[in-house]
Amino acid sequence: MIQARQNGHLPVRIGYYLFITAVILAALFSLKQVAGALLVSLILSFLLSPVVSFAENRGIPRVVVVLSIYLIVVALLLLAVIFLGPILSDEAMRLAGDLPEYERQLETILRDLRVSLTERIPGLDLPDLYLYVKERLISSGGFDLGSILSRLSGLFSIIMILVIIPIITFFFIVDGHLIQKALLRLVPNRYFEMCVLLVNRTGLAVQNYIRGQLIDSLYVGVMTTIGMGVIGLPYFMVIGIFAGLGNFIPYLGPVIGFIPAFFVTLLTPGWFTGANILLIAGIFIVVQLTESAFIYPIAVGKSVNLHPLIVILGITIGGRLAGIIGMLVVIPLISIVKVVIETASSYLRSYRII
Amino acid sequence: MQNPVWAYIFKSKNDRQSLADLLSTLPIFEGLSRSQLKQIQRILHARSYVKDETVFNETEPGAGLYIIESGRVAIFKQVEDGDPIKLAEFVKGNFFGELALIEEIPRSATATALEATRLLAFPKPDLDRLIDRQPQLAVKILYNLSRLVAQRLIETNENIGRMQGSVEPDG
Repeated sequence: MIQARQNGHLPVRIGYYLFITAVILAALFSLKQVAGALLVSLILSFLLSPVVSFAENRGIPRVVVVLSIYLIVVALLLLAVIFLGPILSDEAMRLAGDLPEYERQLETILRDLRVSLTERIPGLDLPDLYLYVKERLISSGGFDLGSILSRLSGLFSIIMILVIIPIITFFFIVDGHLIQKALLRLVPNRYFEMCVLLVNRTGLAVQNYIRGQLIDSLYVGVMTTIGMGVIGLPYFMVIGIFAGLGNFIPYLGPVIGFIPAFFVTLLTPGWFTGANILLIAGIFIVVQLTESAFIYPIAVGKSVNLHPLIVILGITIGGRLAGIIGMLVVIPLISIVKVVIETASSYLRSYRII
Repeated sequence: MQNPVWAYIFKSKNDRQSLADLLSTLPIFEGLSRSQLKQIQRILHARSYVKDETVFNETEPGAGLYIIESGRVAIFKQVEDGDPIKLAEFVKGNFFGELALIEEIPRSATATALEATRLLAFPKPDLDRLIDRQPQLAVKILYNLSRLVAQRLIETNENIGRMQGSVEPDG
């Protein structure tokens, strides 16, 4: 009896849900910035909510916890700007200023390499390595730090970062379960239980993945920075940041992190010796080994292991679509989608919907 | 009182009051303070069902407990080659499905609304969240829950004992 009632209204019901979905999608697409801000806020609230719950557990209201976290973050940022800012911007400026000089050195090294290789191996017809590398770098936008920064700042204006994202994050953390409850009201009775469990389980899984991945990358970044700083390599902070960011990409991450370090060693006068390269490679290997032996299994776990083929295809597509940022973001995105699909399909199956 | 706006405000306030009263009578929320009951009220999902609509199906993973705000719900169990048998019928103020609060296990029976029914759902993820955030409130609910389950166990044991007692003279 109930079945007949529902089937009779099926077109209306489908129309109703399509309409709601369309309104939400249209709003998000027409305001990409808002969509981006919502996404960043969601990720931030995922990261912060365990801390907030921990404090609430001890009797401190959520609102107070979130506001104190904001104050602490602002204080830390000010400290960072005051103490680390000059070092970092100095390094970046110096790197940008030195780049043409490095390019000339790279040219000499590669041309010399070509000459000596052609001399030693008769009959070898090597193309101009320098031109080849230069073309590659320019076409991939690899060395254009300025364009990466301007693209990032184009995505998020200062007001967005300083005002809107913190406010949205605040409401996500304080009223997140009420927002979720309001959305669950829209779900028909037949799918209510499944949606309750599904939303909860995927939320937890995605939250764990993001948190674990960030802890993991933070470890790699900080340890690399310390290692490079201890041996006194110039630009050790920039190298550390690269290593941390590169860590978002499995398999290729360590290599991506090592490349800037290698080039700095190659191009800094007096640094390019076999011993130094071995030392730097050794530090990278130690960081990688400790990361994959101790940090990764605890922080991220095995649940999101991606096949190497998927990683390579993903990075290729990500790079095509959105350059370097795309390459960095694509693997976390694929992992999140994988977690969502796995959870969803297991629930859909146990509710005999698929 | 003629003004519909005022009538609406008073009505909704009364409704909220009666809902809190309803919750305070449930054994699962026994010992909760007034403000804790209000918190529970904010968590609960209000759902409406028409006559003969299924609340949950046997063998599907259970998401939580339901409280009957109005209407009637029957619990059916499918038996091998036969019509489902009615195990129980619940009315306003009763609750069912509490085992799903302990673990996400398949439902042991099907729940169906016998008339237009309003239910308040208390899902397990929300209880988990309470355990995380407000353990002093969650521990009361968990204690009540374990008392309910213990009571059920005693009843079941007695039933088994009685069945064995009635079977033995024949066997």
